[in-house]
Order: sequence, then C-alpha cells, then structure tokens
Amino acid sequence: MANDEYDFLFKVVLIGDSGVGKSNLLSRFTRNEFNLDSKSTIGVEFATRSIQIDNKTIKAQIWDTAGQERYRAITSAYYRGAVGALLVYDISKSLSFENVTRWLKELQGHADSNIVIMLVGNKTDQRHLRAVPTEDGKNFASENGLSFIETSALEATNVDLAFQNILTSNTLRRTAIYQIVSSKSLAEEGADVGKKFDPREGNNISLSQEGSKEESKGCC
Amino acid sequence: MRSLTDTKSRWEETFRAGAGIADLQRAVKFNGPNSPCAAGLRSVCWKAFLLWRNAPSELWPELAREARASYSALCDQHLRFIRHPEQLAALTIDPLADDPDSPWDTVRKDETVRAEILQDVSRLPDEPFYHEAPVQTMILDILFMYCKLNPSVGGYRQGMHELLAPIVWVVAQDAVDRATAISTDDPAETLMAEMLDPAFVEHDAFALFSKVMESASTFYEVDNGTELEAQQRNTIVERSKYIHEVALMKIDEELAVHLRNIEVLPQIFLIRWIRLLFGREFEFGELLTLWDTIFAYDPTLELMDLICVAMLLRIRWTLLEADYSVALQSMLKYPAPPPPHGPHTFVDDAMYLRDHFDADGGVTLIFKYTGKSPASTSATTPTPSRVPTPSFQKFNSLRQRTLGARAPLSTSARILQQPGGVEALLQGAAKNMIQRGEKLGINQAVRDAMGEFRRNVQGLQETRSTPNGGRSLFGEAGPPTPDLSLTITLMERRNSRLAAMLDESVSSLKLLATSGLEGEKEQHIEAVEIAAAKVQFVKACLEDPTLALPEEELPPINTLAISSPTEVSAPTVALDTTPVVMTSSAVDETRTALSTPESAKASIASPKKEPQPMPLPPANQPDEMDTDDHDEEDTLPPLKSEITHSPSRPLSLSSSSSQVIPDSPPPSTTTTTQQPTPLQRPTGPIPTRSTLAQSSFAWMLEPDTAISSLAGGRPHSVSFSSVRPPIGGGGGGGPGGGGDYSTAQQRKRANPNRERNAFLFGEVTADGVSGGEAALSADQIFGLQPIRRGG
Repeated sequence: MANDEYDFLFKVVLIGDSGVGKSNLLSRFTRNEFNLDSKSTIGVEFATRSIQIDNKTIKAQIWDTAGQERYRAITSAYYRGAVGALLVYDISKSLSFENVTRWLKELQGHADSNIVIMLVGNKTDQRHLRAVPTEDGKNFASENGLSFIETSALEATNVDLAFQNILTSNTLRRTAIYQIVSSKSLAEEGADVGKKFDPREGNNISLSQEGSKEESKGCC
Repeated sequence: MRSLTDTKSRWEETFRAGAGIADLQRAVKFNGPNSPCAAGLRSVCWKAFLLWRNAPSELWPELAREARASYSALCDQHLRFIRHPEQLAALTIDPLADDPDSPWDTVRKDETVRAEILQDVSRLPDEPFYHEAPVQTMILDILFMYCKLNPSVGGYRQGMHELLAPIVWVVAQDAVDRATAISTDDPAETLMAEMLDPAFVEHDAFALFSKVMESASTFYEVDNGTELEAQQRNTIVERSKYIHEVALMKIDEELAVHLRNIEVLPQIFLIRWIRLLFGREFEFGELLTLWDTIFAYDPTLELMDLICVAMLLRIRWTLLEADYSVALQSMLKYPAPPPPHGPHTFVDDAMYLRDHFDADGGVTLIFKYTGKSPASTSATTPTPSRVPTPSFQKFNSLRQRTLGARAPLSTSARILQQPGGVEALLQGAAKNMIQRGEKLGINQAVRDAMGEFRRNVQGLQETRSTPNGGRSLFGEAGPPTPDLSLTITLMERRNSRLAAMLDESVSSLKLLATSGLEGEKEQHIEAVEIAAAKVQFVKACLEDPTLALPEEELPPINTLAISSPTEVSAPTVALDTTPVVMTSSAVDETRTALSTPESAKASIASPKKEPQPMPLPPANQPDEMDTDDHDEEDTLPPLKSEITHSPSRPLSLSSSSSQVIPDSPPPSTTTTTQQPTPLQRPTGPIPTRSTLAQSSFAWMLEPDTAISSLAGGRPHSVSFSSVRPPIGGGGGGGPGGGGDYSTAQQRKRANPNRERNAFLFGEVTADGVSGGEAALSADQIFGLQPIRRGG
C-alpha cells in the first residue's frame, strides 16, 4: 500500500512523438534505469517517485503513453488531473520537433489551463545526429510560454532537473494556495465543530458529528 | 530450424489424438507437456484452429497453397518497388510529377508508413529471434501488407507488431530444413515438408495474423469522427467499460465497485491486456500456451472480456486492499499466476464464467484460486443495472436507462445522520447496500457507532441528564428514550418489508432469467422494468426514511403516534409522484411501470412474516466448477444454472404471498418523525451532497451520479442542474481551486485515500469528455471518506 507520507501528489504526463524517449525519461527519473531497446509503450504506463522540494515531500506520479496514442482511446483519462507535462521531442529527429505544435494544441484542448508545460529536447547524447538546434527549442519555448531543457535519458543529463522544474513550480504554487486554504478551512472547521459539537452532550452525537464535520470539509 | 526427423516425430505427435479440430482441441485442453502445441507442431495447431477450422484435414495442404499463392501475388503488387527500387528508377515517370497516382508518390507514402512500423518493430521485446535482420524485415513486410490490404483498420497501430511477432516466431520455429526435406521420397514427408517450408513462413504468418486481426482489429479501431466523438465511441474504451461496469459488476460486484471507487479507469490497463492478447502480461512460454487455448476454444476472441474478468478475480484480494496506484501497478505488472494454474487457465475460467455469468460464478472462481470466498457476494440482489440479459446490447441500453437507480452509497452520509437510516443499514433490509457498505468498510463503522449509540441511549435512560442529546437526534417528539426504541422497532419493521420488496423483484428477475427470455421480448422488458421500478422504489425508501411504505396491518405498537397526518398520504406520494423520488430517464419508465394496474399491484409487496435475516451465502462448492462438460459448446446461454445458484429463492416464497394495493393509505404507523433530518438544524446547515451540487464545486459532480444521488425527494436536483457550469467551460469554481483545497485537506489527514483525491482533484480537466469518463467520483469521496476513516 502507498502508506508513504507526502505533502503533495502531482501527476505529470509525458507526451511527444513515438520513439522520442518518453519511457526512458520515465525510467531514468523513477528508477534511474535506461534501456537501449525498450519496448514501445502500449496504452499507458506509470510510475511514481517521491522527492523533497522546499522541505516538502512531493510524490510525483508520472504517466507515460504511447506516442501514437494521440487522439486515441485514453486522451482525456490521461490528462485528467495532470499538473505538469513534459513535451518531449528528439533532437535528432526534426519531425518530432515539428510535431511539438500539434502536441501543444492537444494539451491546450485536453489539459487544465494551469498545467505547467516544459519542452524537452531529448537524446542530447546523439550529438553527431543533432537535427534541431538548441536555439530553435529555446525560441519555440519562449514564444509559447514554456520552460525548456535539453536532456539525455541515456547519459542521465538533466532528467531530474526537468522533472524537478515541473514539480517545483507546482509546489510553489500549491504552497501559496495551501497556506490560504488551510487557514481558511481550519477556521471553518472550528466553526463547524462549535456549532455541532456541544461538549455537554458527551459522546451522544459523536457518530453524526464526525460524519457531518468530515463532510463539511469536503464541501466547503 | 529443426531436423527432418525431429519434425517428423513432432508431426506425428501433433496428430496422435486425431486429426480433427475437436481432437486437437481436447488435446490442447490438457496443456501438459504432451499438448500437441508443445510436443507437436504449434504452428500446425494454430493453423488448424484459426485457418482450417471448418475444413477436413485432407484439404489443409490445398488451402495452404492457395493462401501462399495469393499472398505472393499481393506482395508482388504492393512491395514491388520497395523491394526493387531499381525498377522504380527504370520507369519513365518523373519522380517529381505532382500526380497522386504516381508510383513515386505511392512509394513515398509507403515508406512513411514503413518507417512508422519499423520504429516499433525495432523495439520488439528481448527475444533475440525478433531482432535478426531478416525477421525484422519479415515482420515489417507482413504488417505493411496487412495495413495495405485492410485500409479500414486505419493504418498501423502500435501493438500490432507484438501481436504478430509471436506468430512469426511459432511458424518459423516449426519450419523444416528444406535441404533435408527435398531428399525424401516418402509422399507423407513431402507433404509435411511442404507445409513447413521455411520459404513460406512469412506467408503463413501473414495468414494467421490476418485471421487473428479479423477479431482483434476492433481492439485497435479508432473512429474517424471528431476527436470528441472518437473518444466516446472508441471501441476499446467501450469494451473496457463493459468489462468493468457490466461483466465484473455482475460477477464480482465488490471488486467492481472498489475499482470504481478508487477511480481506476479500466481502459488504462485493459488497452494493453486486450490489444496484445496479454502478450506483455505473461512470460513468453506461458503466453504461447495461453494463446494455444484461446485459439483452440475461442478463435474469434469473444472470451477476451471474461478472460480479463478472470484475471481480475485472481488478484481480487490484492486489488480490494489497493489504492489507486497500487491497484494500477498490480494490473500493469500482473503477478505471474503460479503453476499449475498458469495463464491458460484464465480461458477455462472465462468459459466457466460464460456459463455462470453471475456472482456465484465469481465466488466459485475466487474460492477455487484463493481459498477465500467473498463475504456475502452470493446474496447479491440484482439492481436494474445488473439484470441478467444474454444480449449485451440490450444489457447496455437497459443499464443506461436505469443508471439513475444506482449509487445507493451516495446517500450513506445522510443515512448516517438519521437513526432510521442507520437502522436500515443494520437490519440488512437493503442487502445491496449492506454489501456495498461491507465492502467499503462502512458497516463496521456503523455497527461500532450503533453500539456506542445504544450504550449512550442506556446511559440516557439512567442519568436523564442530557435530554438534548436525544432531542437533537430525534427531533422534538417527547422524551427521547421511549421514542428511540419505538423508532428502532418501527424502522426494523419497515426495513424487513423493504427487504421483502427487494426480494420479490429479485425472484421475479431470477424467474425471468430462468425462463431463458423466450417468448415475447416486450413482456420481458416490461417485467424487467417493473422489477427495476420496484428496486428504485425501495431505494427511494431507503434513502429517505420519511417516505412511508404502502401499509399493511401492523401490530399497534405505535401508541405514541409519532407520525403526523401528512405522512399518512406518503405512500401515494411515493408512488404517484415518482419524479420527485427519482430523476433521470428511468423515471418515465418507472412511472409507466407503476401506472399499469398489475405492475402497480406487483410493485408493492409486504411480508406477513417477521423480518427475515439475510440469507447466508450457500457454502461454496469448488467442485461445482467443471468446465469439461462444455468442451465443444461455444454458444451456451450464459444463465444456464440460474436456479441452482440462486441463494435468495427460498425467501421469495415467504414474500410473494402477501400483496397490498398501493393506493390504500396506510394506518398511521411506519415512519419516523416528519421533521427534517435530525441534524439539520436551522441554524447550522450541514453541507450535504445537495449543497455540494449548489456550490461552486458542482462541476465535480458527474452528471449521472450526481442526479441519481440527489434523487430521493430532494428538490435540489433542480438547482443542481442550474448551477452546473456549461460543459467545456472553465469549470465552476475552477479546477485550480478544487485541487488546492483538496491538497490542503489531504495534508491534514494521514489518509491513504488522499492520493486518489489528489489525483482526482489535482487540477481536473473541465472538458466535457473527461467529465463523462469520470464515472462516479465526487459523491463516493464526499460520502465515504469520513466513514472509512471512522472504520
């Protein structure tokens, strides 16, 4: 069971053309593994890893899907709840970079508008085959308001950084909101308890009090 | 490549049991090392099962020859320029001509397709054979040819390569060295050598793959409509939903409900299971044995759904304890089933489930493999969503129409606030509810709470120091103590009658099932709808204890006369104004069903007897399970054994004897106080589902569940629909707000469920599609979290 403690759970999705290295980015980040002949992803895979950011334990739930799965069976289920997306292309395949625009459209169509997107040029180990200059990636990212990084899952370059970037920006955002919401909900909870729980009544209504208090948490 | 002698002995081994399909099937069934697929020639068996099923064995060589010739011709046509680019260059056509019919253009498009395929072929699993250059080319060519010849499939889809690869492996494995084969004079050997000619591995593999894809292509089908439509009509998603919400729900409701509650969308793992025919789920050798069995008994892959269900049943105990990620992990990394019950036994299970498509079938299998049986699954009361119907289409439409009748749990929180509701749970009138409660750990919580509650009541009697406590629970109706016991007695009575009503619909449904649905279709539909109406009525009564039942004579225990005059007419309300009680499209049907005289009469039944305890599940009989008797039966009616497996039948005798006319107003008894639910004081409204619906978080409510959970005479359902933001809009209070709030909330609780919540509420996509897919959700979470925690 997932009993491990964490402060935030963030779902991050990996998208990009088939064969750009999404699955290896996932395995590098979550298990520090790289498989040169990894199989094509069919449907969905996912893995988790917990990291510390800003004294908070962040559990990252990383989803990986088949590159061909675009416009396919699981699109909406895939994006639902995602707070971050790594849009991956292969720096040695210009087509995968050209398709970034299409992936971005899909993100805009299906994901939450607040999703943090990072453009990732993967396979920097293929220096001699580079087809997409770093500048192109940078420019595209800044034009579209994305973060940008180049990685090599094979050499383990920048992989953690890419995920951390996504998770950190979400953590900062959440922490701010968390502070507001937690003080607010604590106050409300206190009010609720005051209303419904009269100590003189002892345990008599503990059952209903418990239920209603909890419920109010969910609904406020 | 095998030697001629080895192949010859294998060839003989293959046909030792006989050359007919039935003989082969039987031989494969006992998947030991002597299976013709293992000891003999697997490729020949597969060809027999898939390609030559209806042909006598004498014709097999001829059929093989024809198929090979036709594939060769097609290859010449489609692969000519790809295999011989020099011929293309020799053409006198301008390569740059802007002509869509130009062979140059075709070749360029083909090369794109081939590049896409090759990308996957080069990433086939580790098996070294797959990565030999000629094999790679062969697999690429077969896939390319398949796509060329089957444009309706919509091109190459990832996964097809892993469906093809084992086939190529099997065929290539059995090929016999031609050099040795040619040297023989024996005609039988010549024939064998021809059948296993290595030159035709590609041809034969193509034929087998095409045959498998005749059924499997639906797993890959993608609608060409707009994106939104494609998602709704996507067959694999539909199929996954069917497996989860119909098949599993019928066979192991507890598990199905659990998976739903933890928000596991079935297609997430089923896509891979199904598209690859479980190719990634099991070890290669075991996979081949599994395929042997599938091809032998189910060449059209109709059992896929039930095989998936059987796999879920095998790990059901793990899944029941799992949260979202643990559950997904166990399904995406399915634990290897230990011998002797290797993966091929899932086909046996599926065949068994086909013939025992009900909770008993599930219990039997669970017990068989785990030694434990689910607590009370066999006492399941079919809700309208689980009416046994052999036709899935009918099934689905019925399910959709009666969707509103589901989700009794959504009201559990409210029930907890009402003593009557608690008693309802305790007394087991709503078996279904109890069951669900049990599964979700509610019951223990409720029982504990009730125990405490009763102790406190005694304390009240002794001390009389805090009458307010009683009053707050039971309104202002006099001194609390006598009221309490009276109320409880009344509720017990009421519940037992509700149970009887439920039981009656159950037995009528079972009766319907045993009738095999022969005769008038409309009659059956009507019968089912009547039953559905009854169940819905009971549901409404359970949801709202203030709804009075149509009354029969009750012993005059109600000396205190708690009920008020208005309640006397309550039954009429319950029956005539059904829309108040139930929303959704089911209402109309219910109303219709209730308005016909017979059905109205039939819909209300009360037992004369004392409250019946819930029938215990019958002792499990693992020996019941025998799949041998339907070896050759491919189309058994699924409900064959309904009678013998119906645990609640005995009860029906006691309840069917007494029927009451619904319109007769009841004596002033039955129900509890008329006051609004006790805890809802005017000063401190407790947020309920209704208020959630009104709040800015209304977007969290999935339309169907929301409506049905609001059913029960609450007028809020109206406000719900008005508050709900337009689909595709920003989403009411904003997804960000919801997510942030829930994270904050989760941090305070060390609750294992929080992951699910964070997942659910962490910025939810507000688009209509995802809303539609998020079946259930918010209500379970809001309703259950506190209870679970209490348990």
